[in-house]
Order: sequence, then C-alpha cells, then structure tokens
Amino acid sequence: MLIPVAPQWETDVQGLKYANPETVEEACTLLRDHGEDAAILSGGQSLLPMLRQRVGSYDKVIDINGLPDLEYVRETDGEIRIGCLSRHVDVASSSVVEEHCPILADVAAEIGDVQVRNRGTFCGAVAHADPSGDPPVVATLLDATIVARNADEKRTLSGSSFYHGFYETDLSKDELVTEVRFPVLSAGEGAGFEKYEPTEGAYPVATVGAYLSLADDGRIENATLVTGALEAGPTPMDDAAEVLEDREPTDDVLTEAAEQLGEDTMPVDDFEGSAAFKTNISKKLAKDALQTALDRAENER
Amino acid sequence: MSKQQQRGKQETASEDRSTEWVGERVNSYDGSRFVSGHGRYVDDIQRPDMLHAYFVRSQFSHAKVLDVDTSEAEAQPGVELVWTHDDIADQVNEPFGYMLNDEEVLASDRVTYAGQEIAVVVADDRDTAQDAADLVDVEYERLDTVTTVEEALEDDAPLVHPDLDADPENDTDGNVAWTGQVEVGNYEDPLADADVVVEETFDTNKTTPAPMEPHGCIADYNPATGKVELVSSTQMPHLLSVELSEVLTEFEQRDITCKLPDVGGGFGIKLDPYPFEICSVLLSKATQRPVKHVLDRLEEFTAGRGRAPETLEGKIGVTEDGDIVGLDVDLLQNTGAAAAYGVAVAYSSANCGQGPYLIPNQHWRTKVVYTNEMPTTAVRGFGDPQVTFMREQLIEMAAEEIGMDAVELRLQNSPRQEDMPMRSDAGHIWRNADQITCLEKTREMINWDEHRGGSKTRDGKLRGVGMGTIMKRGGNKSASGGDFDEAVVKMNRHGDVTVLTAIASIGQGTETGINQMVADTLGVPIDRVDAVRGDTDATPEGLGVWADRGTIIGGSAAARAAEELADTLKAVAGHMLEVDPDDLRLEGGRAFVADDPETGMELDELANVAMLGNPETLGTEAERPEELRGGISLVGRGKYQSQEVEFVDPETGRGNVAHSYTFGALAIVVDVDPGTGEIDVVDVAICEDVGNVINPTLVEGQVQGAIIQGLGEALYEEYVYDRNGNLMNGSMIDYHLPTAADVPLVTKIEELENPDPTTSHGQKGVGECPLVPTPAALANAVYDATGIRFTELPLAPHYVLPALDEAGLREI
Ligand SMILES: Cc1cc2nc3c(=O)[nH]c(=O)nc-3n(C[C@H](O)[C@H](O)[C@H](O)COP(=O)(O)OP(=O)(O)OC[C@H]3O[C@@H](n4cnc5c(N)ncnc54)[C@H](O)[C@@H]3O)c2cc1C
Repeated sequence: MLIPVAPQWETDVQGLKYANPETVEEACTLLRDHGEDAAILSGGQSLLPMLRQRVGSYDKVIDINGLPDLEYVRETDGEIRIGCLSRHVDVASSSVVEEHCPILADVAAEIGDVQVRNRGTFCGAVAHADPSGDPPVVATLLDATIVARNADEKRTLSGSSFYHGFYETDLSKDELVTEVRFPVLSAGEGAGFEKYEPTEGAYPVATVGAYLSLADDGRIENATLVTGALEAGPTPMDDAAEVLEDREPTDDVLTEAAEQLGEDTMPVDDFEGSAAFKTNISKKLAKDALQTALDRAENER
Repeated sequence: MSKQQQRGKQETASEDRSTEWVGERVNSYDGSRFVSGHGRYVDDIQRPDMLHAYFVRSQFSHAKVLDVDTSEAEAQPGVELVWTHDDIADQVNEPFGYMLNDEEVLASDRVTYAGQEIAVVVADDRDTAQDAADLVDVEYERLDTVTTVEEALEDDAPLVHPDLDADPENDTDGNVAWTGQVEVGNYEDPLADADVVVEETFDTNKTTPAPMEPHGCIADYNPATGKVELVSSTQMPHLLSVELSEVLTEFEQRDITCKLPDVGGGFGIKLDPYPFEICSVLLSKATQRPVKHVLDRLEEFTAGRGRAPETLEGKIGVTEDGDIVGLDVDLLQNTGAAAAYGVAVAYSSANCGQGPYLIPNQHWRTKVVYTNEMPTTAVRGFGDPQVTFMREQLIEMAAEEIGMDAVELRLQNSPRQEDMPMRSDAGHIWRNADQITCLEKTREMINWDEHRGGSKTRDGKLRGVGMGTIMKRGGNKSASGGDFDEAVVKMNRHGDVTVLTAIASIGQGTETGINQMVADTLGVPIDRVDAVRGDTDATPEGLGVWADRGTIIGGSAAARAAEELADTLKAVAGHMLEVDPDDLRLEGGRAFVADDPETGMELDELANVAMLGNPETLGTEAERPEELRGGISLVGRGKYQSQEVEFVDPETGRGNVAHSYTFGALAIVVDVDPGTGEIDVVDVAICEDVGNVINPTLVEGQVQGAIIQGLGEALYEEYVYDRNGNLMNGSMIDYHLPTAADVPLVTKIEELENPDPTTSHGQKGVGECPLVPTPAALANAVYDATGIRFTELPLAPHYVLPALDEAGLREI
C-alpha cells in the first residue's frame, strides 16, 4: 500500500522524483508548480513502458493512486460517471455500463491483457491520448464530458473536440482529469465498437466506433462514425455518417456507409500492413460496428 | 496406451530394470522452484563488488566507423572502463565465428548491421553503464546497404564482408558465404521420370524465438589462478568453454569454467559464443571484478539472433500414379551479417529436405548469403520448418494436379516400418518408425475426409484442412565434430543419487527424463535423484542441448553410468545376501532376488555398507569378490557416442547426418475470415513416433509449445526491415507473439512408441519436431479453405486480406 506523504518530493526512484499526494488539492498544487516536467501516474500502463524505454521528458512522477473517492462507475443525472481511479476492468464489469452504455464495456474489456485492464485507468487512457488508444475513440464518438481540475478551477471539456493528433488534447499540463462522463443511451440509440489487433492484447491497428439513433419510423436520425489507430488519433468520419442519415438501416445502407468510411480513411503503410489493407479492414470493422449499433438501437425500442 | 505402444515398451525394457518411473507423468524436476518464484537466473545472481556492462550498438546497418569518442562516457561518475575494438584487439582471435570466421567482438572499422556491438561500457550499475553508453560518440560514414538476397546477389552489390571476399584463403564469394548441394540418384535431371512437375517459389520469414530470459552472463576472473568463471544463460556450457578458448588468445579451455544458472529458454539462439560473453571475460580480467552483462529486450530484437529467412525455388516430380520421383530445389538463405549456425542450417535441412518420403532423385543447391541484417542462427527446427513449408505445399499441389488425395499420396511414398533399418535416398539411417500409422492416425483425428475440399461455416468463415510431415534429425555430427555425451551418477551413503551431466536445462525438462531413467536403472524413488547440470568443473564432457539430442545422447549416457553403479550395488548386495548378483533386481529402493523378493535389502543400508566399506560388515578383502576389493566406488560412469552418425559428404551432401530421426504428421483445420483475413486455427492433430515416451507430460508440453511457436511464426511473426536495414518492429509491442488467447489448446496428441533400438530406453527426439510441419500444414489448410496458395510467411491478415480481395473473396 502507498504511504501518504505531504505534497513534497519524497523518494528518488531511478533518478525520478516521486510524490504521492493525499488530496486532489495537493495533486493540483504539485501540477501547478511542476506540471511542465512531471508525469501523472495513474495505472502506469502507458507511463511505465515509456519510462523504461527512456522516452518522455519527465523528471518527476505524481502518483495519484492515493487520492480518495475517485474510484467509481455510477449513473447520475442521465450520465455515466467514471472516476479517474477506476480501472478498465471496473468499466468492463459494471452493471450500470452494461445497462446504459454497453459500448464502454466492449471497449474496456478488450484493452490490452488482464494485467493492463486491472491497472490501467479509463480516464488515464482518455487523457493520455495514445493514437491507438480505444477509450479516446469512444470519448469522441459519444462526446464524453471530460472533467479537469487545476489548482484554481474545475472545467469540463467536450470529448468530440478534445483530441488534436498524436498525444495532443485540450488538457493543460497543470490539469488533472478527475472524471469522464458518458451519456446514458436511451431507447432508439445504440453504439458499437470494433477493432483489429494483430494478436490478442496487442495495440489495435484499426478501430471503428459507430453511433446511431433511430427515428420513430425506424429510419436513421443521427449517425456518428469515428476511427482510431488509423490516423493520429480519433478521427470523425462525417461523410460516411452522412450516408446513413435519414435512410432505412438496411444492410446495403450500412455497407455503403462502411465502404465510404474505408475510402475516407488515410492510413499509412507500415509493418502492420499497407494502407490498402487498413482501408479494407476498416470497412469490415465499420460494418460490424454499425450492425451492433443498429441491433442495440432496435432492441432498446 | 495403445497395444502398439505396449509392445514397443517391452521390446527394450531390459529384464532386470525397474519400470517404475520411465513413462510416468513425473513432475518437472525444476517445476516447483520455477512456479514458486525460486528460480535463479543470471540477473538474479549478485556478486560482491560486481560491475555491469552495456554495449554501444551501431545505429546503421552498414557504415564505416570513422571514430569512436569515449571521453565523455569515461568521465561519468561510476564508469570504470569504456572499450572499443582497439582495447581488445590483441586479446582475441578475429574474425571468429561458429562455422565461418566472419564476426568481430567489437566492430573495428566497419559495422555490418544495425545493432552490432561497437563499444562496451562497464560501470558500477547498469543504469550508469546505459546512460554512459548513450554518451559515446560514434562517427559513421554510411555505406550502401543490402537487405535482401536478390540485392546481395547482384553483380555490383555492396559487399557485406569485402575482406573475406578478398581473402584467397576464404570461401566467401561476393556476398555468398557458403555454397552446398545435395545430389541423389539422377541428380542432373531429377525430374526426368516425372509425368507431372509442379513448381513454386516460397519465402519464409525471419523470426526470433524470444526466450523469456534474454542472453546474459556474469564473468568472474581470478587473478591468482588466471582462470575465469562464467555463469552464462547458454544451451552448451561445455562447448562454450571450447568456443571461447578459441576466440580468447589468453585463455585455454581449462581456464574457462562455465556454469549454468537457471536458463529461461534458449530455442537455439543461446548456442553461439556471443560478444557479450567474450567482453565480460576480458572486462573482468581487466578490472579484477565480476562483470555482469544482461541484454535487454530491445537488444534481443536487434542483436539476439533468430531464424534465417529462406527463398526456396522447388520443383517436385510425380508419376500419374502418385509416385514421387524427384525433387529439385534452389535454397537461398539470408543469413544476415554473420553466418553463425547458418551453414549447418542450410546443409542439414537440405540433407533432410526429402522429409519422410522415398525420393530417388534429388538435387538441392544451397547458398548462404550475407546481408546487412541481424545475424541468424540455430532456432528450434533448424532449417526444417523452412524446407518443409516448401515440400509439403509442393506435395499437396502435386496431389491436386494428379487428382489424388494428399494423404494418399503421402502414404504411397512413405517408408515402411518393416523395411527398416534402411538407408534413405539421402543417406539417413532410418530405424523402427511407423510413418504410415502417423499419417493415418492424424487423418483420422483431424477428420480429414470431412473437412477436405473446403467449406463455409455458418458464420461465414472459409474452412479447410491441410497437413505437414516430420522427419527430424536428433543430433548433428557435422555441426559439432562428433555426437557424444558423458555422465556420472553417484550415490552417497544414504542412497541418494546425483546425476552429473553436460546437458543444459533451458526449461524443457530433459533432466527430469534423465532422472527417471536413472531412477529406474537404480531402482530408487525419483525424489532421491538430483541433477547437476552444466558445470565444466564438475560435470563430465558433453555437447549441450540442441537438435533434440539431450534425451537421446545425454540420457543414454546417464543410463549407462547408472548401470555401472547398479552393477556395483548388485555386487555388494549379492555378496551380503550370498546370492548371484545376476539374480538381483533393483526396485522400490531395495535390492532383492528377482524370483524371491523376500530375500533382499534396503538400498540405503546397502549404500551405507558400501560407502563405509568396513571388513566388519563386508568381510576382509580376501573374502570379497574381486570387484569389491580396493574400495567400493559408488560412482558410475557412462558415455554414449553415436557410432551411426556420419559427416555429411561435402561433395554429394548425402550422409547419415544425425543419430536418429523422429517421424510424424500434423494436420490443421483453419477458419479464414473473409472480412479481416484473420485465420483462426480451430483444430490441430499430431501423431509422431517418438520412441518410448520417458515422460508423457513433458512430451505433451514440448508438443504443445512447439506447435504454438510454429503457429506464431506462421501467423504473426516477422522481422520487418526498411530499405536502410533498420528493424521497424523490434519490440514486444510491435513484434507479435501469439498469446494463449490466439491459439488453440492442442490436445489431439498421439505418440507412437516404436523404440529406437540404439538408445538406452528406446527414446527418440521430441522437442523440435512438432514445430517443423506447422507452417506448412497451416498454409495447406488455408489453400484448402480459400483456393489461394500462400507462398510467403507469415500468413498475417495484412497479407491474407489483400489476397482474398484479389481473388474476389473479401466480404464486409
Ligand atoms: C501491453 C499493453 C497493451 C495495451 N493495449 C491497449 C489497447 O489495446 N487499447 C488501449 O486503449 N490501451 C492499451 N494500452 C494502454 C492502457 O489502456 C493504459 O492503461 C492507458 O493508455 C493509460 O492509462 P493509465 O491509467 O495506465 O495511465 P498512466 O500510464 O498511469 O499514465 C499515462 C499518462 O496519461 C496521463 N494521465 C493519466 N491519468 C491522468 C489523469 N487522471 N489526468 C490527467 N492525465 C492523466 C499522464 O500524462 C500520464 O503520464 C495497453 C497497455 C499495455 C501495457
């Protein structure tokens, strides 16, 4: 267990200064004073590999695992709220999530491997903005509300405009994400998520999230499609979504949108495959994600 | 156990030997230590005053090294020494190498692959050494790079080793390190008798077996004796001291004691003498302190060596009736910047390339080619997976061409057990193996007839079945100069037994099987037997673990040593009990008259009497039989030297390359996802003739592990280099090893137990075999499912999906 200490640099781990503040206020004070060269440690599943590979320009680590009352997944005021110390496994196994926004469980249950899911935090993944990260895709797709604190204030940020390419977000270096909120999906709404990972537990090479809402007549009212891993971060696929709007959700229509999504992606050739391969696989993922979204939207009616 | 297996057992179990332990599911000797976290690997070992070494490695795949500035690194607090080639040049014989002399310990004026060792830093701790290594400033002049065999063979290709090419004493010709051939029958026109010839070119992939524990060692030099103790994560402790003494000018074999720690996997890449070992010895000598050098995972990827990719242009000739008449193959091995075991991989896989078939006419032309990539070396399967990937696909192609079932074609061309022992076409001596049953059993277990021809599953996947076969060497004399192992089995006064063997434990469990054979020979409970492995000060000579030789050669040696000790115990017991020692049996911790079990004595009492050797218990020497006079030694000695194995004939490439051969067949059912190109391995079945099974649990473990390793290499793994010779995916994040969730639990495992009459317990090799046919069977299954012949490994989705697309099979 962590021994709480005052907000000061306590131990020296492998040349890094380490602090484990006891309160959000202390954490934010540390971030205010040292945010430029300090890293937040939540689940450590991204930070520790970076430290081991000697990438990143930190000399201080602020461990937030001792902060009180931040481990929860609950529904309040039509929103699912995930505290910043909730792990992927907590999201994957939450009955609230299962009932109100099952796509979050789909995402969380497939992140990395068991060890990663037991330690890594959902909010940490949203904040870290790994271009292959899964939570950022769903945060964009469902326009999550990201609650950020600094020493002076608390503000909320919109998930659909939060990401700006490789590890870039609207967060400032002095801010701590304390909570991420997702909408409760109501009748006629559904969302699905698919990813291609070369082996189980590997980072995905392509992901697609799909959201649909159906009008009373069964036609598609709103649609959102977001890809991940294919480009520098979550990428909304508006033209593909537009294909769906106001249409009957037939298999052909879903296929048309999926094809459009594939054509609009801009992946690069690398050791995980050619751009053409990634384009093709993203079509399949889009189709499957849309199908899940549709099934859920129809079942909720 | 089948009747056949029973029969096999009886054939070799000698009348008076206990059968209590051999064949039983005895727990692994090391297992409880390992699973409870009490293993001691190199990096767990601390020595007082120990230093830590770290390499400066080349950033470029091919460059001149103009200058290495170590001053800033040397100035760091905690840094003891920073060495470049000049600092060691007069202490090493260079170039050195396992089969060809093509390596430098630290690069002198040129680097030939990205990751090659240029300088070594030794410091008080590892972080300091690594930080200081970053401060060593290397000035390079880039040279043109060759990464593919085609490029390397072009007339004006940049030369990887211009010095070797220019040296008239050296066989290197351009970038060709070695050329060989196998000539069988009408080799000049091996397809002359064929009605149908099928040809195709296959490309296999470069992979790493990625042992959990990286390479590492601790060298501890003693200035008073001039000797060094080297604790290294190796597969061949005794050969390592031989090899190192050839490189280190100031050390003879007797000056280098190699000791095995626990070794977390080897798979072949822990056979070569590596620069880290050589440097550590010299650094320990220079500093008079112990030096630890453990590679990290990124170094493992760039410099830890792996399987050589090969291009195989093959033609197979068959008659309309399904007789295989000829095989004609050009094999090009991309060996990387140094050949290491590459030459042996090439000649032995060509020699064994006919597989478990009768193929009267063969012509193999092999070239080992240098490129500016990480050197390759021995890896589980040792070239057989590559040639099998070709041969077994050619066979299924030929079967289709003549309208014959692929299993039937195999059956028709397989050797018959009743014709054995026999010489194969390429010169192997095949003994007592039932390949026909292996094929038939495998066909049955996998439901071949039901799946064959391909089908679509209810969830839209494309399903098919394919097969591959095994004819795997156990041992390799041409690679080691002979095939032998010695062993000592000793007993203390309490009747506890210790086996001393040069066989290394690299996690595979060979020592457990050896202990079982020794326990049965001496009739003692298995938990009274301990093993001392790979300590060149203590264990007798032997060659280590590779080529499936450990249980065959090392096991037979240990059994012989135990027999010698058993004879002594019987002589003492016979004397004490006043019966003929030949009438005695050792079993259950007792020596007793076989026909009269009541007449006997406990082994611990017997050991005590023999060890103390007093006249009060044994009578005066004059009263004892000859062999019990002059002190009774409870040390048994044994040596097993294969007399059957031959050097491969350099002209014809023929010869009995190994002591024994394991036969078998493996089949795979796959589902191919037409949306993603992902291949799901839904079923695997294997039937091998492994001789008498010493320990079914260990055999199953090896079979499952080897198949999964093969599936990883066939489905996911590959080294991807860019045009400049930089490795693009050299980390565990980017290089995709299979996880338990990606592969099936292989349970359809059938072992035939037709004993090898030449080994102590009828055992044959096991560990490498199941990997050999796996990539081939997978590709054949995918063809059956899709009609697309995949000639390149791996069959990863990013290769499969585009092919499905092109064939009009892709769906979303
Ligand atoms: C083997 C492996 C496989 C993985 N596979 C996947 C995968 O398939 N999909 C996927 O999405 N992810 C994957 N991950 C990453 C995993 O999801 C991480 O848990 C996640 O990216 C970061 O969460 P964390 O809590 O571990 O953050 P940490 O590693 O502790 O922190 C990383 C960085 O994120 C920021 N950060 C973290 N928490 C906060 C916060 N509360 N407020 C502000 N900033 C914060 C900081 O900059 C911090 O330095 C994998 C990781 C591993 C090791």
